[in-house]
Order: sequence, then structure tokens, then C-alpha cells
Amino acid sequence: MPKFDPVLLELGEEGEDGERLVFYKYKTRIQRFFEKKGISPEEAQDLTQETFLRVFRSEARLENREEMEAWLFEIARNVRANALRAQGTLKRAAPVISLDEPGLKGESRDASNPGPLSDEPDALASAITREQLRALQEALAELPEQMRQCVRLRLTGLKYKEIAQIMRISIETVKSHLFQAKKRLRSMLEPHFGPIDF
Amino acid sequence: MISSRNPVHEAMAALAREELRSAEHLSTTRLMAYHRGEIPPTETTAITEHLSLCKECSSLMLEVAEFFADDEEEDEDTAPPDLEPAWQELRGAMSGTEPRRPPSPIPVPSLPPAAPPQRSLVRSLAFAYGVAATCAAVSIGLFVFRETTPPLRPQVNPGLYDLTSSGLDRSEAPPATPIRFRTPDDSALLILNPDGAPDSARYGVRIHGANGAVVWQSEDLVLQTPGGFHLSLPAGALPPGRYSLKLYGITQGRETPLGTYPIAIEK
Repeated sequence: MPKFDPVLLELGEEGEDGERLVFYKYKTRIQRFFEKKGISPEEAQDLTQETFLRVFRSEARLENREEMEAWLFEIARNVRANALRAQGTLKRAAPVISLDEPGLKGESRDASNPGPLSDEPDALASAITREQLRALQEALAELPEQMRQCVRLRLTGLKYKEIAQIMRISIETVKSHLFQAKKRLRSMLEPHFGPIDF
Repeated sequence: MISSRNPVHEAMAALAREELRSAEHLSTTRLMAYHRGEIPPTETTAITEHLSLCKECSSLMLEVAEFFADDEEEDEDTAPPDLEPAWQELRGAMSGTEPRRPPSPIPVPSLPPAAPPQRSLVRSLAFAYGVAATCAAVSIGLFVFRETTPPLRPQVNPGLYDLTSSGLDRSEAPPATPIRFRTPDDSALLILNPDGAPDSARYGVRIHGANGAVVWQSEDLVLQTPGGFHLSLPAGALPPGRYSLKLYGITQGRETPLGTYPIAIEK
């Protein structure tokens, strides 16, 4: 079976050049993916070629289109991260991370091993009390599910548009949820946190 | 971006950490399916809930949305770009030769008359054509050889599979290790070598199907010297297909991921 089977990958007919079809289908998308991060068109072209070289030189066998797209995306993402790191422009994660992981500023976060909220006097424990945490937890629990999820995402620093993309809802719905949530949460949270804004 | 120094934001970060204590990240494939709206509504809620808490997965989700954004913005009136030169260049790079350019549109007879070339120039051109022809022949030969020669497979004893971990991050994943059973009573011995030195009290393994659901689980793995694990997988335990095998340690009821191993059960 060819590595890029055009029929399995839903790209063409049996006997066609699978690699060529993959290139034609995804080249522009991958190049734009690089350019959107401020990479020049010339360098984006080089990085696109590097991505396809890595894809085509691999011995991986792909069984469906979804698998291939995920794989292409991962490789492009990896190539882009390497390029940005080389340029010294790879942005660190949001400053919230440094509060989550004292001593591990800017490192990627492992959600499966986040560590306990320690009673030790670290940066986070000194800033946030258990009472505040409980107050936030209880206040969020009062909100309808979608509204609560919008608030959580907003509190991690995301823009309306980004929240809408993640939740797969309209920006107007996001704005409406946040407006309602602010009204509801104000009385519950301000005694613990002071004036709130998000 | 709103300020992250606000105490409510800091509290949200701490709360997310608490609630994600034993959660696993969502796979790229799953996020892509979620983006396309291909996840059943019953599972969508759980994914959205996780995304609202996990900064890493929500960031990845935004990248997925960015990657597919052109599908939504595609202008059907715009003529597609000519990709053939870039494709030929890539093929040249793949075969390790100079990029193969498309055929010259300028026919030789139509060239304007020029002064007779110097003898040395003729020799140089002849030499250059000779070198180019040799390179082309060698590269075509290599290309044909590569296309007709089956890929080398590791020569190991039948039934014994040394798996390669894709690590704990989302960098480029290795191909799935194919596992084949010879008879219905056969079993495969999988060798798992985690990247770091494991120091948990107990060890377990979970095998996830393509949809992310756990299809096989064992929590009595024994740490072998010098630091790997052996897992015996009986034929028939899993139907043919692709799976992700996740190794983890358990200490005081808390799980620590140690490695992820893509496998493919063959017919």
C-alpha cells in the first residue's frame, strides 16, 4: 500500500501520485500557517518545504484523512516552533503560568501533574487564599454551563474572538454571557477580591 | 489580552490547576474533530469543559482553528496558485539533487543569432551538460530504487516489540509500531522504555482507541532492570486498528504520565 494512498486519504483516484496530491492540497494552508505568526513569505516558503520533506521522508503509514491532517499540523507546528525559537521570538506562556509553577517560569504546563495548592508560603499561596478559591469556585458553580466556560476562558486572558473560536459560538454570545456573568458574580466575588473586571 | 495580575485571574489559574489534577490533555486529532463539529454532543460538553480549564489545550485549539481558518475564508473566485514549480523543487530536494525546474519555454532555434562561441565555452557547456546528465541519471536511479525497495523493518524476534515513546509533549509523533499476531493464541511482548527514571510506587498502562476511549487497562506492571517495563498483550485483546498506549506511575493514588506509545494492531 502506498504511504499516501489517494483513496484512503480522500484526495483522489487510485493510481494517482498521493504525495503530489497532499502537497497540492495543503501547501498553501501550511505556508499561511507560518505567515500568520509574522514569518516572512520567503522563510515561510522554506519552512513549508521543510515540513513536506519531513512528512514525505517519514515511514509513517496513514490510514485516513483526519490522521494525516493531524500529523501535518503537528509537524508544521513543530517546524514553526523551532523557527521562532531560533529567531528568539518564541513567546513565553502567559504570566499566569509563572504563578502556577513557581520556579518553572515559562515552561510548558503539564495538566496531569499540576501539583497541589500548597500551604507553604509560595508566590501563589501568598497571593490567593483558600477562602478566595472557594468563593470563586462557588460563584462559578452558580452560573449556567456555557456562561461559566466563557468566564473561565476570559479569566485565562483570552479575547472574545478566541473564546468564540474555542467554544464554537458567536462573539455576540460570548459578550452576552460575560456581561450577564459580571452582573451575577459582582456581589459574590467583590467582597473577596475587590472590584472585578474581565 | 486582559491583565493577568488581577487576583480573580490568579485564583482562576489556581482553581484550574486543582480541577485538572488528574486530567489528560486532549489529542490533536480529537481537537480537530471537535473543531469540525464531528464529536457527538454527549462528548462535546466534556471537551468544552476541559478547554475552559486547560490553557495548553485551549492554546492548541486556537492553533487548530487557525490552521483550518482558510477553509472558512476560501474565496472560490480566486484562481488557485500554480504549485507545480514548488512541487518540482520539493521533489528535487527529496531526491537530494538540485531543484528540477520546469522545462524552459524558450525553444533553442528561436534564440537570436549570436557570435560563434569560443572553443573553451563550448567545452565548458559540454562538460556542464555531461555533469547534469550524470546527476539526473543517478538521481532517477536512486528514486526508482527508493520507490521499488520495500522499507526496512527492524529485525526482531517474532512477538517481541520494542516500542518508541512519542514523549509527553505534542512534538512530532513517531509512527505507530505495527503488531501482528500469528495465531489466535499468540501474544506480543511489548517493551516500554520511558524517557526518565521511573520512581513511582506502582505502574499501570492504558490503551486508548482512535476515539480516545480506554479499551484496555492494566495496573500491575513490574519495573524491570534497567528501568523498562514488559507488557504481554494477548491476541484478541484488541481488534485491528491504531491505538495509543499510555504508561503511568501511581504514587499515593496520583498518576504521573511516563510515556505514550502509538501502536497499530494488524490483521
